[in-house]
Amino acid sequence: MARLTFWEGLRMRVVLVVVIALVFVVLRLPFALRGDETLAGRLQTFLSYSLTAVGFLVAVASTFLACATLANEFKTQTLHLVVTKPVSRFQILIGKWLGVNLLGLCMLILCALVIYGFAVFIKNRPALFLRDALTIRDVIWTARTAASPTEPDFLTPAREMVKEQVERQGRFFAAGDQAAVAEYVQKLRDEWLRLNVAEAELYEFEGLLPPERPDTVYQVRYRVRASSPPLDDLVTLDFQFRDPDTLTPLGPPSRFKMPLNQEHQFLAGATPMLRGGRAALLVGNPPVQEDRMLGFVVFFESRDSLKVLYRVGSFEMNYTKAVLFIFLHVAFLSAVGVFFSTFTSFPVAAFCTFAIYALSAASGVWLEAIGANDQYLTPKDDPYGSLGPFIRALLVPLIQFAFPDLARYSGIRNLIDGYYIRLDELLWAAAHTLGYGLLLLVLPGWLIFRAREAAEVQV
Amino acid sequence: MSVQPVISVVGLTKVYRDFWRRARVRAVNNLDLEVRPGEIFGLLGPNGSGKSTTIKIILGLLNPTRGRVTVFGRPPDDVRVKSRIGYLPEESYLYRFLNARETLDYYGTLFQLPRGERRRRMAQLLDMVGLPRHAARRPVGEYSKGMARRIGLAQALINDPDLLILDEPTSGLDPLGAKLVKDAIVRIGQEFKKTILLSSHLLADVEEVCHRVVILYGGRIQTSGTMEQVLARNEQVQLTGERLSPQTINEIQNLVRQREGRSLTVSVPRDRLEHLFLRIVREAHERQVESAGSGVTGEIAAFLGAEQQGREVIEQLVRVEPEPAAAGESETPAPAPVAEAVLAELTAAGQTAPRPDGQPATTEARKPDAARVKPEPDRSLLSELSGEEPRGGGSS
Repeated sequence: MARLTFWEGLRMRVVLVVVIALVFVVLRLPFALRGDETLAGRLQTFLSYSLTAVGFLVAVASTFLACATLANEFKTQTLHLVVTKPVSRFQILIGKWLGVNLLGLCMLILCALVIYGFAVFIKNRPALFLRDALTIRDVIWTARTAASPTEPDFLTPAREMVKEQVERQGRFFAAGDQAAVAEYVQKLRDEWLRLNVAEAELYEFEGLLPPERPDTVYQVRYRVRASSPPLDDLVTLDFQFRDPDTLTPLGPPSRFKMPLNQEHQFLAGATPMLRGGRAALLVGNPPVQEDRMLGFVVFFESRDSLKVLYRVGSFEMNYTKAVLFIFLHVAFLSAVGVFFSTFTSFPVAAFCTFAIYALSAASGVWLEAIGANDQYLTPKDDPYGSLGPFIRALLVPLIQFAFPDLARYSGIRNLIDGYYIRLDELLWAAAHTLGYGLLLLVLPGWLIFRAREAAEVQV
Repeated sequence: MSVQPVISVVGLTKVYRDFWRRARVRAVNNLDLEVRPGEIFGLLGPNGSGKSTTIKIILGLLNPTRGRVTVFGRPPDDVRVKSRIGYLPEESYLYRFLNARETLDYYGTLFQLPRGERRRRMAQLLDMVGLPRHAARRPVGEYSKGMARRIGLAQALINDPDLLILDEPTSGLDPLGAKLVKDAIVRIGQEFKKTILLSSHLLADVEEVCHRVVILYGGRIQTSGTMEQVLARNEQVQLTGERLSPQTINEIQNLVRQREGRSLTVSVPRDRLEHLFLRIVREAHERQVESAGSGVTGEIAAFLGAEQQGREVIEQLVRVEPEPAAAGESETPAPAPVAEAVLAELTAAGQTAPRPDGQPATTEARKPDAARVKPEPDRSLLSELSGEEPRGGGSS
C-alpha cells in the first residue's frame, strides 16, 4: 500500500510542480540573498529562507497527496478491488500514511542535501574579514549550548542570618524560619544579579568544554534591565574575563554600549578564558555612564540573562535534527490529511487539513491572545472577563493538545543560531505530532474507515 | 451430510439512504440464495434490479441493511475469506497510472504471493487474456475498455481463487473477448471445479455458461432454478436436422396435422451473428491482418487449480504429442498410457505439495481435472479461429 501511494504521489503532477518549485527556490536563493553583506549573514539568511520554504512546500505537497490518495480511491472506486483482497482496512489506512510520508521524506532528503551543498558553498566563499570567518566557523557552523553563571551558595549565609537573628536578637518570624531563609536566599540572589553604580560582580561559569582549536571563539550573551532606565535606553557595561582561581585579568576589559532589555552578544577567545572548563567573567557598571553625568542601577533578570555559548556538537547533526523537525510537520499533516479523507472528499479534506496547519502554526499566538501566558489576570484585563479562568481551563489544554505548536517544534531558528538542538525537544515534538497524528488516524480514522462502505452510494 | 454452500444469503435487504439517513431506494428486498461448491451461478436481471448490490454485499463492499451473508461460512469482511475470492468488478477499477504488469504484481503482492510465483502467474495470465507484450507496458489508463477488462479478469485470477465473482464479465468486450471470457468461465468452472458467481443482463452469455440462475427484478427473486428447469418449454417441440426436401416437409406437416390436429411452422435457422463475426475474424487472422488490439491464445493460465509438478508433466506430454489439426470439431480421447502417466505423476505430487489455501491436496479431487486437461485445449478460441492445433500458433 505504501509503495503504491509513493508511486501515485510521484505521478501526481502536484508533487512534480512542488519538486520544480523546490529546485527553483534552492537554486535561486543562494545567489540572490545578501543578508547584511557579511558571509555569515548570507549563510544564515539562506539557511533560514530555504529550509522554511522547503518545509512549507513539502508540507503542502504531502497534505495534498494525503488528502487525495484515499478520497480518490473512493471516488475512482479503485478501493473496491483493494478491499476485496486479503488486506485489512487498518493496513490500507496505515499504508497510505506511510506512503505519503515516504514520499515526503524522499523530497525532504533531496532538498536537504541540495541546501546543505549550497550552504557549504557559501561557507567556503572567502570571508572579507577575520570576524566573519570566525562567526561562520564558531557561531553558525557548529552546535553550541549555553552555560549560565554558577550560583554561589546562598543557603548557608541565609541560614546563618536567620539563626543569628533568632538567637542573638531574639527575632521571631511569623511565617516560620524556613520561609525566612527562602526570603533571604532570594534577597541574596537579587543582590548577586544586581549591579549598582560603580560596582562589579564576578560571575563564574563551570563545565565549559575545551575549544577544538587555539583560535576558537566562544560567544557571550547578555540582557540587562534597569530599575529607572535612561531616556534613550542605552547602557554601558564593562566585561573582563579573569582567571577563576587567581582572579588576575586575562585581557583588557571590553566596553559595550547597548540598549536595555535586548540580548547582545560578543565574541571572546576561548583558549585564554578557560581554566579547566571554568571561566570567570567580571561585569562592571561604570560609576558614570558614557556621555552622561550619572550612573544607573542595572540588573540581570535571572542567571539565564548572562551566558557563555560553547560548542557541544556538529552542525551536520544539528542540520539533520532541523530537517527531522520539518519531517515531523509533514508526518503530522499527512496523518491529519488521511484522517479527513476517510470520510470527506478531497477538497474538503484538504481545506480542513490546511485549517489545522494554519491553526497549529499559530497556536502560540492563539494561546497568547486568550491570556494563557499571563499568570495574574484580573477580570478587568481578562479577554473573557470574569469567565476567563473557566474558559482557559477548558481551552488551553485543548489547544495545546489538538494544535501542536509547529512554530515551537522547529529547529530552524536554533540551527542558524548555531544553537544545539536538544534531543529531548525533538523527541517531545515527535511524541506530540506523531502520537497525536497516529491517534487520530488509528482511533476515529480507522473506526470511520472500517465502518464506511467502500462502494458507498449517496442517493 | 449436506455440502456447505460457498455463498449463503438469507433474508438480504439493502436500502440506500440519502445524506439525512432517509430511505430512498430498496435495491435488494428479502433475498435468499445459495451458491454450492463447483457450480456456475448466474444472477440475471435488467439494469437496476439489484445484481451488483447483491454482489457488493457478498464481497463486503456494502453493508446489508438486514439479513445475513456468509462466504465460505464466514462473514464477508473476514480477511481470511478474501484470499480465496477473485473479483472482477463491473467497471475496471484499476489504477490508471500502473501498467498491466505493475497492476498484476500489485494485486499479487496483496495476496502475499512470493515474487517468483507472481512473475510466473503474471506471464501466464497475460497470455491467457491475450494482452500483447508491448501493451503490458502501457499504463492502464490508456487502455480501451475491453483491454482494461482483460486485465481485470487477469487480476481476479491471480490468487487462483476458489470462488470467482464476476460482475457483468462480458460488458465492454468485443465478441472475441466475450468468447474468451465465456470459454474461460466454463473451463475454470468445469475443469478446475471453481465456484463462479456471475451477474449479467446479456442473456446469451448466461445461457451458455451457467448451471443455475436466479432472475431478479426490483430486488426480488422472480425465478430460480437450473438452466434446464428455467428454460424448459414443455408446450413446444423443436426438431433439428439436415436440410430436407420440400416434399418431405410437406409430408411431415400432413402427418402432424392428421395425428395431432395442429400445424407445424417450418423455417431455416439463421446463423448467429456471433458465429459470423468469429468466422470473419478467423479469416482475417489467417490473412494476417495486423491489429493494435489484443489477441487471444486460448490458453488458460496453467497455475489455476493444478499443482506445478503435475502441470509440468502435462505440458511435457502435450508438447511431445501434438494434437491432430482437426481436433477442434471432435472430442478426441487422450491416449490411455498418457492419461495413466499423468495420473501417476499427480498422485505422487498431490501427496507432498499442499494447495495454496493450506488444505492438503487430495488426489481424488484432482483426478478428473488432470485427466481433462489433456484433451481439451483444442476447444479454445484459437483453434476455432485458426483451425490449428492450440500450441502451434501464438498471438501477435
